[in-house]
Amino acid sequence: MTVGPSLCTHDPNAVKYSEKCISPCAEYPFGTDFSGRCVLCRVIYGAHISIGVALVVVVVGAFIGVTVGIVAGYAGGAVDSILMRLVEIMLSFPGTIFALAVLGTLGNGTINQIIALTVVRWAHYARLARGETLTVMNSDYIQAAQAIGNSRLRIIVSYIFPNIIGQIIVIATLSIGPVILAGAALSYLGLGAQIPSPEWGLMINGGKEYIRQAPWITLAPGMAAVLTVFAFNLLGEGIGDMIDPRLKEKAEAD
Amino acid sequence: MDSKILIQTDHLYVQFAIPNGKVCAVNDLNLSIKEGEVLCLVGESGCGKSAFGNSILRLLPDNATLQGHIYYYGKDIVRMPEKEFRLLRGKEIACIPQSAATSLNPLIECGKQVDEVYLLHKEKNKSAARKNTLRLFKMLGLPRLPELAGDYPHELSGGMKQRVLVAMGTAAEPKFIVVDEPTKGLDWARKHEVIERIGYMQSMHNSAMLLITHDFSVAELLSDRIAIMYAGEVVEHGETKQVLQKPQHPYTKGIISALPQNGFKAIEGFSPALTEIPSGCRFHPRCPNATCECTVQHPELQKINEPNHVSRCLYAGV
Amino acid sequence: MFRGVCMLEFKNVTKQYHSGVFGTYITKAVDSVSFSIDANERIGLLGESGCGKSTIARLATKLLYPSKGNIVFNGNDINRMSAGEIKEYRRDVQIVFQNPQQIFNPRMKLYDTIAEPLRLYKLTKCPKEEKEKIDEYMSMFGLTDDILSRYPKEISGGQAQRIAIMRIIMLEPKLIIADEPTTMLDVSVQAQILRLLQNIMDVNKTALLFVSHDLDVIRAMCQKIIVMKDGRILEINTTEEVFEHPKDEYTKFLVGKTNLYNVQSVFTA
Repeated sequence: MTVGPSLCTHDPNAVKYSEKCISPCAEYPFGTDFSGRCVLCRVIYGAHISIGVALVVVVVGAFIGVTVGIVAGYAGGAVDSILMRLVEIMLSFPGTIFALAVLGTLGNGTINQIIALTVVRWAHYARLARGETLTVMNSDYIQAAQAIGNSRLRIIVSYIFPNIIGQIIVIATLSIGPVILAGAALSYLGLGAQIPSPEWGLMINGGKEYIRQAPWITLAPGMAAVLTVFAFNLLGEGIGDMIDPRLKEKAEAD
Repeated sequence: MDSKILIQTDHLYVQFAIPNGKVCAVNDLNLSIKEGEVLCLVGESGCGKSAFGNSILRLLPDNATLQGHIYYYGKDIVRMPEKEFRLLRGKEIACIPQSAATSLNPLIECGKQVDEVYLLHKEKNKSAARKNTLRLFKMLGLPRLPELAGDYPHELSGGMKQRVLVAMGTAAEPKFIVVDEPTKGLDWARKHEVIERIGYMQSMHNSAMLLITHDFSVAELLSDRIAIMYAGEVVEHGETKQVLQKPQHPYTKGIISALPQNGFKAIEGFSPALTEIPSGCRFHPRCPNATCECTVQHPELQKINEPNHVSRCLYAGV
Repeated sequence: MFRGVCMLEFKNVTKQYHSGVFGTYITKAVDSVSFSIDANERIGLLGESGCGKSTIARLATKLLYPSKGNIVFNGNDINRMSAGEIKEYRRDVQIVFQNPQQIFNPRMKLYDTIAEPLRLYKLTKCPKEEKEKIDEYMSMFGLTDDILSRYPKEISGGQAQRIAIMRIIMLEPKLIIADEPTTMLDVSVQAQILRLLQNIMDVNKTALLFVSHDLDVIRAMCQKIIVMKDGRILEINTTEEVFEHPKDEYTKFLVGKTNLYNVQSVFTA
């Protein structure tokens, strides 16, 4: 993301009607769009927005979700029931439609898009965090920690959190892809990012009328989105393998 | 009358590839088991006994390599093609694995799991298989027959699951069974049950057995001969009564004195990791009688007075 | 290191669990159990799996709460203590678990795990003092320094149990509850751990409640035995009396099983 802008030789917002819809060539590797803007440059700047939004959504959503999940899992009883009912209500709404509703209420713009996507996402992390917390709570080392005299807060911070964070990171990384796509979908529908932002969904929307004469206008951001999602999925799986090499160690044990 | 030799190992080595090189879990093992005989392999965790058991069944993990030979009625099973060995495994060479909780398929009824063994190796007759299963369950003392055969593993207690495993291992009336730690973690009541049942099945079918355990009472009750393993090698071997009453190797003596009923006199030090094997005699760092010779010379198995009683100690029989 | 008289008393303690559709099905893990432990006493709690002995260990360490009855320590009900009293209690009554490798935080280095009791109870004033104290205990327990930078899964069962006991001893408890501490260990390692516990009892005059199903181990370690079955206490007596003159039928049966017998002749279909 920091490297990207230095690769751009053109201004992504510079409008040059004289050079509209040029097919990919040496000067414009991804061609130009209907306003003469370099598609490659717009895709690169769009990456800032799409990935940036996704990262903020995932981090904030995970933070809220993990807090709720750990509290529910550790406290149990009525607190757990109430929080989990809330989580279930959130999860029962279809994601995109709920995001649309939130955006409809708050109005357009990137910040509101982030809020909408976070509101939809946090419940997934809460449910995962609660499940992991319950698994950890059943372990012998939690009992040993209580017996040696740890306070409840210390157990949550030193025992539960470090043992569930691995799984959370994996799931969070794997969810960056879907959030990018969800953000693109919202922008495609005209909510969230607004013209002339080089956000990918918006670019795909903009290029849809020119799909016959200049398909690269939609293809480029579309492919970029696909490849980015793919890359984050691989990253997520790689982190997962790093965190969980238990299977290899068992063979060494004997 | 001399029974035929069923299993014979010849200079067997089992090595595991690890990130920093190789580790030798079993070092130059030479053992034989006759038809109908029970050989007990005793040793601590990490001494290589499970690795040996798995090597006979050819169930070692991918990073394991075998050198040497294991002969079954004279045929080398280490080099046998997988297709050929699969005909033997389960039918003539079977196993009763360690942990009942994880060895049974939780989604299949217990009776069916035992039937499967019969159907695979004896004849494809479902009613004959079920009849055999119920006969085995009755012999093993399982209650509520025939309804119990329709229960799933999670509906049975630990002791009952262990008995189902014994039934599975003996359903095809194999000639040779590897029994891996049958009493690990069990309390004394379950332990005695399991020992009784295994002993009974063994005498009914006259199967030969390799009984892997770290529990001497199991060895004493069930086995004809015993081999003590330490750090991948056999350090003493002979008839069970002989070895337990007159142990020759310092390690065997140490383990027997460590039993609670003998005053739990601990052996100094810890078992060596397989990556840090001591030079000379592998037991010398912990041996109360070690001399300079012991640190340098690696002892071979020496014959003691009685027939077939051997000990890997430079001062054996002295 | 001797810190005064200890007395733990169970008074008619019951622990029951509700299950079934409306929670109407009651299982009693522990049923009206009463006994006491004096200072410097070594008592064995003997019984099969599922007889309630582990439940008693957990009730005594406040990991479980009784459904009925009281547990009294030096005159105070342990379930009606203030926060400060609870902290003192936890220091005085400690537990050794069965599965040594599973009782450590898998994400904490062993150094921090070992230092934890020192930090929780502020027993040392600075990191230097902490390291010195840890080194002192490590050599007392025959452990080498290279273990300190490892994680729990990288050490053996015997080493793990030593570390577990070491952590507890740093707190100088009055009562140690050992819940099947050597069941998962090999014979030679078991002997080392039992010797270690015995030495600690002798030096520190700590009381011991040793929970096990292994008759030989309890006979070797304990002066008094409590025999349990199905949540109830059947018999409490000195070790010699239990083995030589068992009163209860079940105890006679248990004790008889320590004698070895011929397998084939005993089997009945």
